Amino acid sequence: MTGRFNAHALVGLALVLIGAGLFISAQEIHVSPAVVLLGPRLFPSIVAVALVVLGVLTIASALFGSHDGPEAGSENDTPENDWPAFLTALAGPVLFLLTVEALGFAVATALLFAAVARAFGSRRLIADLGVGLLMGLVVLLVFSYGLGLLLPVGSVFDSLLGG
Amino acid sequence: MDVFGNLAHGFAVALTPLNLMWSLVGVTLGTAIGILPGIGPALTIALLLPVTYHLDPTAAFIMFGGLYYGAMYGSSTTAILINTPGETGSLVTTIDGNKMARAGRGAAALATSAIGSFVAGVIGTLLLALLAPEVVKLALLFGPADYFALMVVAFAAVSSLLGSSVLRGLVSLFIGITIGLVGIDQQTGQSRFTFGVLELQDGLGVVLVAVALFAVGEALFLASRADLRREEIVPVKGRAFMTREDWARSWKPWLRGTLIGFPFGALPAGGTELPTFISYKVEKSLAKRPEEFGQGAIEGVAGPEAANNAAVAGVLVPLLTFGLPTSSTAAIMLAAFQQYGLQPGPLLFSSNSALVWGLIASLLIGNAMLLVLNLPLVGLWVRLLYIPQPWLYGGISVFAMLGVYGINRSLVDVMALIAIGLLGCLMRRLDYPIAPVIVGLILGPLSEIQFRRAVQISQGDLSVFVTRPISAGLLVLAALMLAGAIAAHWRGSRQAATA
Repeated sequence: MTGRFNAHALVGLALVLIGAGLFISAQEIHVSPAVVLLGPRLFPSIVAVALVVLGVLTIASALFGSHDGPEAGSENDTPENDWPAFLTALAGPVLFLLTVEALGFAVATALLFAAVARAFGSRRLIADLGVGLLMGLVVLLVFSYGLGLLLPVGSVFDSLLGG
Repeated sequence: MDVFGNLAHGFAVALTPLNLMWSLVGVTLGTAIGILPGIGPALTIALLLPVTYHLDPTAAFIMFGGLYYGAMYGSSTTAILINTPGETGSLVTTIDGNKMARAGRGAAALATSAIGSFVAGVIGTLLLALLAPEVVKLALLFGPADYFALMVVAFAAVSSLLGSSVLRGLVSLFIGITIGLVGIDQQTGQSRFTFGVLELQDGLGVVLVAVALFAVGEALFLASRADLRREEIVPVKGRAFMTREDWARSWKPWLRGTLIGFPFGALPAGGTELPTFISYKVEKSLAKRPEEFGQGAIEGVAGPEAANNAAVAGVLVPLLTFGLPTSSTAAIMLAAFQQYGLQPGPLLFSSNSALVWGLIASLLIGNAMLLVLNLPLVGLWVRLLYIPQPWLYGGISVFAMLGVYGINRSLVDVMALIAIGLLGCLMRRLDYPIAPVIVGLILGPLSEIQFRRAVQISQGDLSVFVTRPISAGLLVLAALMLAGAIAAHWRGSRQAATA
């Protein structure tokens, strides 16, 4: 259980740091001299103070408290962690981010779909890529011709076709 | 009162062929996403927002309303057949509903939940029609300070009633409010916390945050937890319908569930979980054979399902009359109103009465459609459960990405999607509730506006929040809610410690 308590203490620490950063940067928001009452600084400052207080309370309850409530953590007490699957799922949107402009929406969608499907236990990579590519192409066509929204076809293909 | 005149007016709007079609689209889509685990009404409406931008607002809200109701019908099917709630409001249904399905009484469980949902949906919607005009009169008395205090009540409710502890609820809420700070200050035009990134000037959109938390965060969370990914579908067996005894045991729980659920939704108490738990406990204490509860008692399905749908109807009262969302779906619907430049609140009833009453009438029609969709056609819907999980989550990720990237084609949005998705995954792993983030994100900026307006009217006097009776009363209520929830948790943990 100590591992979980420490995780909550880290959350509390992060809240304190974010709150402090928010407070400092709130004081740097430019206020035009025309603003007499309650400029754009006050509300963020209040939120920042609240974050710090909540952070301190979170640290306190993680380190000293009886923890919070009977159900706390009951769902997650004995988690079976599957880090490879987590990283594979995370790779999906990251691959999309890296490839969408160069390889186009359809290819990027295929990579996203296949990565997430693999994380959820699918082992048919070719089939997953095929389904993902099909989805991407359908969306590309519907968006370009149906809604008039231009999604990237891919700069690589553009230069191949145009060059 | 002219409630019936208003409703007649509403039916005239809702019964046009085009609006009937939108209602059918909404309830069908709602049933589907309710049945599919991993995709809920808040996420779906968020994904539909960009697509419906050019739609007539009345048509869009008729669709959203149908979707909202439909999701609650569909989620009980999942709860009964695979022991996983499609939405949080069906959590209790899994207890006895799944037991009934395993005992070969799945059809009866599905029937009592569908009919119970119908009864509660119709009564709840009629109560909404009756109460809303009265609440509007109250809302007209509210000044900016009172509105701010009301939002504080919503903040208190959403963080004390959802999730496992008040502290975690408040942390989630303030994460949402903090995200809501990013962007241009609406009163002075000053940009705040944009880190010089141009794309952040308009703030992090509701669609982006909702999609990141509900789709990406959820997928990452489930991927990281192999133990949550196993599911077993119980085939529907048994008689196609309820026996005479089933009816006799169901109708009272339906009505009691409705009476328990509606007030919880209508007061800014938020959530559908609490009324379903209360309904379950009430039915258990009133039952002739309480020992059957947990083993497949039909009352344990009938009551909570009715409570769930009545609460769902109730949530629309504060949303439409005060513009106050108390659930994540309601928060996304408020964002939808904002997209059309509409502000829910007392003025909506006079300026857009066709929309409001058309929506309410279409909810009544939608309930009838849903009864047909979920009773004779339930066998068709069950097939959705056989979509392989890898393709289901792959598909959800693709639609999530399309919903975020398709709008602006901005890579900054994709990066934000990944970052907030990771945040959502972390919150799920550490058992922080997600709904307060969405409510904080939407209500945060609105509460700042009301706060500043109130203080500007009072010429800088901050005591305005405690000297106005409505505002002071609401703030006391918020404090009591938080204190009560903390006391309940404290007592609970003491009992757990001594037991």
